[in-house]
Amino acid sequence: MNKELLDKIDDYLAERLSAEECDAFEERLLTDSALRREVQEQIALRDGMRAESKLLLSEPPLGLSGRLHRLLLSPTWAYGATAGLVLAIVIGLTGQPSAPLPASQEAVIRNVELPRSGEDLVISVPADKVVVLSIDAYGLNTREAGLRISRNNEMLTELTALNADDQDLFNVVVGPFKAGDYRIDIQREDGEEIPVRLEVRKE
Amino acid sequence: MPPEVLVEEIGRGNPRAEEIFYERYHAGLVVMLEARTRDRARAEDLAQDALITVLTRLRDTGIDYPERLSSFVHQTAKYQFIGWLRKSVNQTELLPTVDEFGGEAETVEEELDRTRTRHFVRQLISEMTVARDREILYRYYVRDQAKAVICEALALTPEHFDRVISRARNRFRLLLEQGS
Repeated sequence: MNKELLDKIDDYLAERLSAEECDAFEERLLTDSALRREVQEQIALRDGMRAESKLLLSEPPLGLSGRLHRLLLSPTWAYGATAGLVLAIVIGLTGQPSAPLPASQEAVIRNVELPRSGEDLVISVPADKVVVLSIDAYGLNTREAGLRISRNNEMLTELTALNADDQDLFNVVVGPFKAGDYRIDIQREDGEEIPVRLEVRKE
Repeated sequence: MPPEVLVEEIGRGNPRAEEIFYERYHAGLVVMLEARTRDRARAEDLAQDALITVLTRLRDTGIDYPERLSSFVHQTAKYQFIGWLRKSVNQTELLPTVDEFGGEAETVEEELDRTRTRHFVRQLISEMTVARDREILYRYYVRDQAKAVICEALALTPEHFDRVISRARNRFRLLLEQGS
């Protein structure tokens, strides 16, 4: 079922359709069994979400990237007091340190959505800072794609089904990176490869 | 069987045509009325009433535009719903009393269905580790906010929003399939 129709189902259930649109949609619903099944499923999902609305608003348990995110955003990181610990965790995640850093060096966090067409991704950071990236690799999961980050052919980060089973490549925290040229490769399960050149540039 | 033929055959008293008519419209009417009433049992009742009303009309006098039978069925169901809505608004004060006697209690099957759905939804939510994704679902499904409003409020791209919703839908479907 295409996305437009799925959106229309949501609009119908949320009563966002005009009277004419609603009539046309319901007439189709009467005789289209696939649409009927989908609407039933969406009613169940919507009703379930409403019944569990308190759970939706509760604080989620933190996954690995969430824990890193929280740690990196904490003031202690800014003062460098826990830099060694954070680096140790990052090393644990990536297998290797991305770059040796002085303990006092502050990190800035950037949320980036990777370009799809192999364009360059340029990130500027102040001269005395490094950058930690919260990456969205098109919302894929390690079941569907592998994410690798390298510098001068040296692998810095590798997230695949082998070493990070069932992890979303979405809000995934990588780094810290100092100025330099990096390469991000996304290898999808269907064989498609999306290379992105990442340049961390000093401001 | 095309609608014109169906209408003609019901007018002639063909019982098989009546069965086909029922099978063609019953399930769709229940879903449509459940979406409107948010109550499966009530939707079943209203659908039955609508089908009987249309059948009676087809047996007695027929309809002016037989090729638009679906539209006629839809309009009839809509009026049934509006009639029920008026009645229920007028009788609000009676509802708690009726409920005490279990007048509209859900069947065991419906209760199981609801419990199962809630279990899957809880599982789906517990798998979401990003607070903002949960907020997107809350705004969209609970507060019925439009996509554009949510994207603006949370500074999201439409693509990001679509991914979160699509992932939730797909995961829910998978859980339902695995659980059935």
